[in-house]
Amino acid sequence: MNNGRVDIALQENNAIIASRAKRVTVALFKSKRTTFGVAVLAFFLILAILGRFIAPYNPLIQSGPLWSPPSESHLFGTNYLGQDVLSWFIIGTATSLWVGVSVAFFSALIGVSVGLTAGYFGKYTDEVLMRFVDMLLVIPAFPLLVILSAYLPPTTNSTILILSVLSWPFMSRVVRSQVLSLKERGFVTASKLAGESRLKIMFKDILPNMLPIIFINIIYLVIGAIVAQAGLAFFGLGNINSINWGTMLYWAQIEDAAIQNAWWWIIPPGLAIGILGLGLNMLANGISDMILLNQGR
Amino acid sequence: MITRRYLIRRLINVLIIAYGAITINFILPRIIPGNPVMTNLFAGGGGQIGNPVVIARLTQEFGLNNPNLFYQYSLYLTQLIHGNLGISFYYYPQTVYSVIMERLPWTLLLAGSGTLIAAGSGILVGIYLAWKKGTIRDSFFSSVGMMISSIPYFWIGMIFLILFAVDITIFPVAHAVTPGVTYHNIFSYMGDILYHAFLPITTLAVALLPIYALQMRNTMVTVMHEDFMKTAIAKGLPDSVVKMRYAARNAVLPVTTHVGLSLGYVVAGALMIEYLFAYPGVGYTLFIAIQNEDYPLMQGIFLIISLMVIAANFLVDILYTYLDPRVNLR
Amino acid sequence: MESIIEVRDLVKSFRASRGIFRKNQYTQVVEAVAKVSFSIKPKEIISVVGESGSGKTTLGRLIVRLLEPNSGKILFKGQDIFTLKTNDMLNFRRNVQMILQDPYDSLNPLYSIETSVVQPLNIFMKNMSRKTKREIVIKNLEKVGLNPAEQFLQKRPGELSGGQRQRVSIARAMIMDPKLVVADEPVSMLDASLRAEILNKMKKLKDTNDVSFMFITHDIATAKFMGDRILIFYKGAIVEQGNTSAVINNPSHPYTRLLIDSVPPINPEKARDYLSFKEEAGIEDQISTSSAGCRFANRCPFVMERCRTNAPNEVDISSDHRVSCFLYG
Ligand SMILES: Nc1ncnc2c1ncn2[C@@H]1O[C@H](COP(=O)(O)OP(=O)(O)OP(=O)(O)O)[C@@H](O)[C@H]1O
Ligand code: SF4
Ligand SMILES: [Mg+2]
Repeated sequence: MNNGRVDIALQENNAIIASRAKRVTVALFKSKRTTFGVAVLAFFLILAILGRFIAPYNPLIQSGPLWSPPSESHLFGTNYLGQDVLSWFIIGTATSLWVGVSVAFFSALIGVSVGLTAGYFGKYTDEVLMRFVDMLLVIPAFPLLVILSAYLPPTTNSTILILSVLSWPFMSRVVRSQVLSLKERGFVTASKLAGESRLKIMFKDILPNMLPIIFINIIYLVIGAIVAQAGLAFFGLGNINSINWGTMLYWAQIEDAAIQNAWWWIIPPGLAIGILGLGLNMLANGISDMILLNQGR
Repeated sequence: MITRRYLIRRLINVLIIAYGAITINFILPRIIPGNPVMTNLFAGGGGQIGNPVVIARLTQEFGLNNPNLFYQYSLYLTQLIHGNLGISFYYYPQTVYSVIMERLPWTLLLAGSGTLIAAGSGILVGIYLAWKKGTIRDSFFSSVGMMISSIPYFWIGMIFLILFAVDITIFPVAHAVTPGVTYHNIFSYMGDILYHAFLPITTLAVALLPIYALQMRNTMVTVMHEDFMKTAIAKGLPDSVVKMRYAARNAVLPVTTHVGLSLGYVVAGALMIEYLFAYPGVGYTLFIAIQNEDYPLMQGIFLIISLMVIAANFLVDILYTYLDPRVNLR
Repeated sequence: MESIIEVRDLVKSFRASRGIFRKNQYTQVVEAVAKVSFSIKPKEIISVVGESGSGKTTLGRLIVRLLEPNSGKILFKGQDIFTLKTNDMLNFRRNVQMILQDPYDSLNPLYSIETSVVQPLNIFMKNMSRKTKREIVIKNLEKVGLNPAEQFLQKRPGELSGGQRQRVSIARAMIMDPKLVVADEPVSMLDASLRAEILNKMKKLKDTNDVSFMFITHDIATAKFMGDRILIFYKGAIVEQGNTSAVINNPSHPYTRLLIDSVPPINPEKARDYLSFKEEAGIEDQISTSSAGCRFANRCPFVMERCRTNAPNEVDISSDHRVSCFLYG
């Protein structure tokens, strides 16, 4: 075999790979839904990363009169201490997203490991693990979250830990059923025939083929964790002194913002969660449609 | 079809899950570092924790001064069988059980009517959206639905408070009944209850509605693609009849199951909404327990709610299996 | 010549479960492979012919040890393959390969053709340089007619046609120079125009690579085209086997004759049953016949009293031609 031929082949190959990456990107932006999802996600990510430079005031000092409605100097008004609500909101984005992303990361880690283990070993391991998962899925999560939060020190990390520990079961079910169906696929049999070890088949053939589905579920985990953290904060659990969307609502409730008619304090965090949830849902739906289309081919 | 064997298997399964919940309830306070129950119990924290009578009774009834966990566990189970969940620190001398039972009816009223209203109207909205599938109206309302279903329940309640109890004072901002009023007859009592429950129930219903509506829409869209739908259309039945009669009927069942299985959300929603409206159900009580470090009460609430949800789940599951053989096309 | 694979009294049955509840009274046992014995010699193509559901794939999967049998043995170079442990097992994998029935499913959609084909080299030739591996991959792709091979290296299965994918699967199975390749209806999913080409490729590989093929098909014409030897499979049992020309020229078992369509049935009443290929009849049929007697009795125009109570043994018709039927003793 002469070298020239192989080199030319490689150059062509790079071109093929580049065009493939381009195709994925184009597909992502061709659908309005995924474009919207990516845009929303990008918006909040920028807010989270650059928040401290964008925020007009230090959210913890009084920067205007108490309970003042939106004005030119305070676009989102001020709260009961005269702090700027917009700055609270912008700074709070980072913590809320951080909780969402880290909980999603840890529960995906647990869920994928448990699902792979159950699907890989099967038999009793599977039976025991799935019974346990069923139990966690049936027991209502919120009261359990409340108890755990009440017992652990009130920090954001505790909240992340608790939410991670309780959010993974659904992911593990999804992963397990994926393992069971992928196990029957021809290419897995082909790898077995080639002499590949079971462990390598699991990580090279089975796991990569379910990454899109795992990704979709990670998206759901992110939004679920943000909402759950807000709920816990609303009950005064977790670190109520941290600045995030949940604690904004907690203080608004404690100080009777609704009765004071201070809608400008209440609307931003809730609406932000809603819009983020909508964007992430659309992204997830768009991706799952792309998977279905791919399978149809 | 459903066999006795199947029923027994499900029953064993649900008993294992219930046992799991009971055990989690025992283990949690004991494995968490710092062990707040035990420490607070003896150090004397907030609320009634310092009360020596409470300490003495809890210690004796639950064997807390015996370090043997198996001994504690067996005592815990025995006490549980006798309905003893301990004494509330905050509501002393009331027991946890009596506190919960006093509050539970309010929660059931809220959660029950909220779910029914949300499921009923959600299914109708879902049918409508599936009907209009692909139109601008469908994508608009579906998007709004997706948005609302990720917004925390209590936020919706806060907005309702501003709109209907503060801006225009139609509804009360708190409580289940008007304090200090004597009623002339049962109707005025019921009227007062409904008047107070209206906003909380509406909030819960509005928060849950999109979940059911989207579920119904998606299930119906899937059903409409199935073979028997094509058969029905091929039979020459008008489109509308096919959609309504067949697709809707076949989609309602899975959605009803979903209603049963989503009780976890309902509970979470009800608990938060009660707190928001100072509605004296279990959720509000849970908040009070948290504020006052009343650990026995928190755990009791967790246990009772879990057992109820587990039982409800089981019933829905069995019901579904009974109804499952699909509605025939004739 | 010494045979490379020797199958002895191989039995494999499945539980066919109906409904949602496993292990209840509806569970029935399907004997997919029932006491099968035969052998495969070096450099020979043996065709296994049978209708759908007769257990051909199951037999193939047993021979490459994708399934474990209920009883019986398969000897590879004199060793029972079901007792092989790690290293011997790897050696067996290296020497016995299988080409799967469905080319659309047998390549991982995420990996390039090169990655898929090079996999056995990565496992067995750990010290080989990447460049040498690539050269071997290219050589093997060209052998199955994928020219120029370099163009295919970085493509994904999704960018290839069914015929091209099946060739990739063949190249991958051949890359370690195995001694035996089980080919499970390798052309059944392909266009007729492609079939002959792939079949010819495989026949050529037999000569160039010193490899034996066990060629599974439901079509006796293909078997005739391919095979040195032929093995007629009916409901999990071998009803006739032998040298291809002997079997084709002198089909002896009533079922074989039906396949070749040479002998019209005598009794018109029986004719309908005889000719009815109940494609998916599978389970009930199989269960009703797995009890006692000849498996073909329900469809056989020559059925006799003893066919219903006893199972016929294999008898020799000629030196390399055996049949299981009471008509011959
Ligand atoms: N994993 C399994 N579990 C249960 N039954 C099985 C399993 N695999 C095969 N069978 C049954 O064993 C019988 C033989 O199946 P097999 O796939 O070997 O047939 P085949 O001859 O390859 O058919 P085809 O030509 O359709 O591929 C069938 O009745 C089938 O239903
Ligand atoms: S043994 Fe009897 S039933 Fe079976 S094929 Fe021969 S003649 Fe027919
Ligand atoms: Mg087959």
